[in-house]
Formats: sequence, C-alpha cells, structure tokens
Amino acid sequence: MRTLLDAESGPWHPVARATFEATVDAGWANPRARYAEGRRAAEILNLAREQVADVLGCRTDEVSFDSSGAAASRRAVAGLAIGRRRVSRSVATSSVEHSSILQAAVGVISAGGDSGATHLSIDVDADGLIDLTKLAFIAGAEPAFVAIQAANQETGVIQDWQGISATLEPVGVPWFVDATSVLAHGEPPQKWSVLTADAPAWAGPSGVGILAVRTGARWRNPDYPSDAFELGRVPGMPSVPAIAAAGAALVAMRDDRIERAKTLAGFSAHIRKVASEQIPHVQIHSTDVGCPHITSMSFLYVSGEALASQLDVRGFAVASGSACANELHTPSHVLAAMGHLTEGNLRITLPWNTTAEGVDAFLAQLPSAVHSVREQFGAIDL
Amino acid sequence: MSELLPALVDERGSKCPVPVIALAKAAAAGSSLIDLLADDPVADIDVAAWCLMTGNTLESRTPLPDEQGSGVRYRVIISAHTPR
Repeated sequence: MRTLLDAESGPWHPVARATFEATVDAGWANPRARYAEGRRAAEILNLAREQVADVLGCRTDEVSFDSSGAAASRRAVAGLAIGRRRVSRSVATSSVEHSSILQAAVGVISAGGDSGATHLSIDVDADGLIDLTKLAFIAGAEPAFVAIQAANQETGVIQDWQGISATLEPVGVPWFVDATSVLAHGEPPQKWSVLTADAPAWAGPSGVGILAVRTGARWRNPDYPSDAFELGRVPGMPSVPAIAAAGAALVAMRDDRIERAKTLAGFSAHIRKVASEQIPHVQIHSTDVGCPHITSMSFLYVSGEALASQLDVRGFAVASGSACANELHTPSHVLAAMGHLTEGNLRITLPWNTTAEGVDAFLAQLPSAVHSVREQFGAIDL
Repeated sequence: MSELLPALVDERGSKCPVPVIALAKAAAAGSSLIDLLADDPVADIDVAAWCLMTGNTLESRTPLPDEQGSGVRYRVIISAHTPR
C-alpha cells in the first residue's frame, strides 16, 4: 500500500473525476463556436468561472483560466509590468515567492534593458514573514506591483493579508497574490489586484491555473494583440473538461473545508511533535498557525534525496527541497531566505483524504529511515 | 581560558550533506576551532544553520584566494558540544 504525502500534484478529488468524465462528452467543443456543441461547452466553462468567482469572492468576468498556476503567475507579472510601465519599470516581490514568479520578475527587468528598472526583493524573517514596515518603504518607491503570496508553498507560512492590502491600497500599488496554497483548506485573500492559483493544490487536475484580474486593475495582456479566449486574457482554446473538473473540485473542497482543516492541522501537529521528540537534530520550518496540510522539516547529516528514496521504498511518496533532490542542484530558496537548514529536507503536503492510519504508518517509519540514511553517511554518533 | 584546538577540514569537491558532516565530526573529535573548506554553494546556508542549531559560532566566511582554486573557508568556533 502506498501513502501519498505530496498533495501538490494531486490526487484528483472524486468530484473532479466525475465532472471531467461527464464533460469529456458534453464539453469537448470550442466554447467560442456558434453552433450548439460550442454553446454547450461555453455554458460548462462559464459555470466553472462562476464557481471560482464564488469561492474567491470576485466578479465572474474577473476570472480567466490558464494552463497552470505557473503560467498564470508569469502572465500576471508580465501583464502588470506592462500595465503600469508609465508609472514604474521596477517590480517588487517577496524573496519566498514561487520560482515561476521570481523568474518572471527577473525576465521583465532584463527585458527592460538599461531603463534603470530593478527587482526589489522583500526579505522574510526566520519565521518566513515579511516585515510590513519594510513593505511600506518599498511601496513608497512605487514599483509597478508588489507580489506577495497568501501562503508559502513549502512551509505553509501564511502572510498578514490585511496588513499587506492596508499598506498597498493607500499608495495605489497593485498587489499580486499567489493564492495556491490557501485555496484547498483556507480562506481566500481579499483586496488583491491580480490573483493566481494552481488547480492540483485543491485536488483538481493539473493543466489548469486561475488568473483573476480585478476590474480596473492596471493589467494588460502581454500577448497583445491576442485572440478572444478567456475574456481576452489567455490565448488559445482552453480544456473545458479539465477546467470544469477544477471548478467542481474547488467548490467541493470549500464546502467541508473547516472540518477538514481541523483534521489535517491535527495530523500536521502530530507529525511535527513526533519528529522533534523522536529524531535528533531536526529543524521544523512550519508551525500550527500556517496552512493545516503543510510541514517542512530538515534533518542534519542527511541527504534529502536519500531520505526521500528511503521513504519511497518503504511505501511513502514525499518531496524534498534539498539541493540534491532536484536537477539544478539548488537548495530551496525559501529555506535559504529564512536562514534555515536545507540538507535532509522533507516537504510534506497532506492530501485532502489523508487518514490517521497513513500518518501513523509514516511516523512509524520516519525515525528509522532518517537513522538508516545517517548510517550510510557514517553520521550516527554526531 | 584553554587553548583552542584547531582543525583544518578540506571538503572541496563534496556535496551536501558531506561538508556539514565533516564539520560535526571534527567538533565531536574535540576540535574547538575548525577551518572548513568547501565549494558546494549549499554549505553557505547549511554551515550557518548548523551553527545556529548546535549553538556554535560561525566566526568568518572568506572566499579562498584565486591561486587556491574556488571555494570558501568557514571558520567555526566550537563553544557547545552536542551530547552523544
């Protein structure tokens, strides 16, 4: 039996699957076609748009779908940079944003050439939180926009949204928020200018991202002139069945989120407690006030890749943010920004259907898995 | 105050977690002033994190002069010994 501890990539919610299967037949057509099949696809697509708008608390025509959260975030960055270029060529992001956002910010700055544009980075403290005083200072420089995520994808640290919007609103600097990590089990942020999210995070299908642009926000389609798909914001025919599945999963997850969040928070607290009590030399990067399903922790004298493989062999699918665990050999920029340990990292994101039995089975194996990797490295007695 | 017992640990060419393990081994062997040479960029983050977690001090971080090749010298003062 396998136990999945990496919810960033699924699995699909049963409602997503049922909706997908139903709409493969009913919604395959081009939603812009004028014949009956096309109108049918458009109806299904618009229902998903209404579902997302309902959960986000925004207007239906503010919601567009993109091919992933990362694609939507790149489009958010590029579009805000163009929309506000008369005000500023500089952009600001927190140092712990998803890599797609940091890469897009670097991209718009280098595309600006010698215009004097800069990428202003907003540091986080050892708890992963940005300093609102520093944010106010950066906002005073009037960058094109400020990108600050609702919660961190690795550590689950939730930022102070009210404080962020209260700082940015009076100076008129748009707030771009990546809401991916909070939408599965938490409250969506409010008062943003542009919001993005990735459907696998709430057990929807991969290949669907949300790009929500507030009416009046200074965002322009970076691919202008473009076609009219997705209210003119995202070119190309969208996958109506996948989008319908994502919308249905989002609503299904919202409807029982309070109870589920409580259960998952209990599991996560238990994982952190057992790891810190039973395994020497561990640093836990997540707390009880973060996202209920996320725990990141790192073990000294352990290779993250070896630990993830060891757990894989024992039946557990879990990710690692250590340098050795990715092809670029770069450690997690999130842990680096917090000044935390990056070796021997495990990134646990509990799926919506996690059971107490699954958590117990994992915790029964984790101490000996860590021990066995330390043994391989001759690091038992340290 | 007693004399500092120095050690030189050359881990250039090895990747995480090996440099930090070598550092901890030198500390466990009783060295109280350790010069760790490493060229894995991850060591920049993890040596500092090791010092914080174990209560020791990262005294300095100095890039090696060009004639000694790439790498960084981390000078660590061991003030706390982790219990065995």
